[in-house]
Amino acid sequence: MKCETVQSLLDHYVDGLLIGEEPALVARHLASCPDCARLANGLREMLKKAKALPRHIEPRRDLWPDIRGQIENESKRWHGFRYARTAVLAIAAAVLAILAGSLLMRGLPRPAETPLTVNEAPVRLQQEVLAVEAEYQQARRELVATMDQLPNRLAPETRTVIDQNLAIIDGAIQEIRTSLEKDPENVFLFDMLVAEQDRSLQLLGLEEAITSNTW
Amino acid sequence: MAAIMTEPAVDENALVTTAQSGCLSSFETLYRMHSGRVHGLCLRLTGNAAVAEDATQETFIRAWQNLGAFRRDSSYGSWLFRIAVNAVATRYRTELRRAAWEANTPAPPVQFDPTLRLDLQEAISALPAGARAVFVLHDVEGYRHDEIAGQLGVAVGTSKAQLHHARRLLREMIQP
Repeated sequence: MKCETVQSLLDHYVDGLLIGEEPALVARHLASCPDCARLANGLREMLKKAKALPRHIEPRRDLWPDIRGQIENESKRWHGFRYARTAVLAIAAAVLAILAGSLLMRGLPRPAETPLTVNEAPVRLQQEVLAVEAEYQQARRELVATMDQLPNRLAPETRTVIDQNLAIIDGAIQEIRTSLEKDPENVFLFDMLVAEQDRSLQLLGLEEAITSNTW
Repeated sequence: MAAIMTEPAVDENALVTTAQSGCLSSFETLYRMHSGRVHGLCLRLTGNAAVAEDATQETFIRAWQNLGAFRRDSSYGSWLFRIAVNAVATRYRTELRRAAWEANTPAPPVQFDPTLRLDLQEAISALPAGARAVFVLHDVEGYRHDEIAGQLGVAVGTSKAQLHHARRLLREMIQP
C-alpha cells in the first residue's frame, strides 16, 4: 500500500470501519512507515483528547430567569388568545341567541374558568390545535343548523358571494391544517388557522343575520 | 462508624412527571440538572458563547412546550440532546446544506495562522460549521454517522466526508 492510500484510509482505520484485508494492510504499512505511523498516532491522540473534553460547561450566567420569563410570557399570550377566541365565539353565539330569543345567555360560551398560569399544565400547541378545531367545528355546526331552520331571505347572488368567500376560507383552513400536520409546532401556522376559522365564523354569523333579517 | 452521607437521589422520572403536569419548579430542577450538559453541547456545536446561550435557552423552552410529547422512549437527557442539536442545526441549516457541505465539493479553506498552534477546543471552534458539527457529534459525543445524518438533515456520506475534513483541519491546527 502506498502512503497516499493509507493516509486516505486512516480515519476509517482508527474508527475500526475498514473491512476485509484492509486493516491488516494498513497496519503492515504503519509498522514500516514512520511518517504514516506518526500521522496515525497523532490522530489517535487527538481523538483521545476529544473524548476527554469536559462535557459539562455551565453558561456564563444563569439562564433560568430568561427561560422562566419566556415561558410565563407564552402562558399569558395563550391566555389572551383563549380569551379573544372565546369572545369571537361569544359574538357568534350572541347572534344565535338574539335570533332564538329565549336562548339569550343560555348558550353563550364562557371564558375559561381560570386563567392559565405557569403552575398550570404547560400549553402545548398540538393540544391547542385540537381544542380550537373542536370549538370551531361546534360553533360552525350550531350556526349552520340555525340557518337551516330559518327562512332563506337572501338574494341568490348574495348567497353565492358569501358561499364563494366561505369556500375560499375553507380552502385556506384546509391548507393550513395540512401544513400543520407536517409542522405541528409552528405557532405562526396555528395563528393563521385560528384567524381563518374566526373569519369563517364571522361570515357565517353575518350570513345568518342577513338571512333572518336582523342585520 | 460514621454514616456515609450522600445527597438524596433525585428522581428524574418523578420530576418529569410533575413537570408534565405543569410544575415549573420541577422543570427548573430538571434545568439545573441538565443545563451544563446542554450548554456544553451547544457551545461546542456553535463555537460561540452568546449563540450557545441562546440555543440553550431555546432548547429548554422547546422542551417545556413539548414535554407532553416526551414518551420516555429514551432518557430525558437524550431527548433534550436531540432538541439541542435540532435547535443549533436550525440556525446553521443554510450553512450546513450549502454546496461546500457536499461530499464531492471542496470545502473552503479555513484561514488560520500556521505558526499559531491552538489547543483542541480553540481549534474546534475555528472549524467551519458543518465540519465542526459532525466532529463534535461523532468524536466528542459518540454519535454514529447515520444518527448525525438524521439530526442534521444531510446524507451519511456527507457526514463522513465532513468528519474527514474536520480531522484533517484539526491536525493541521493543533499538531506541530
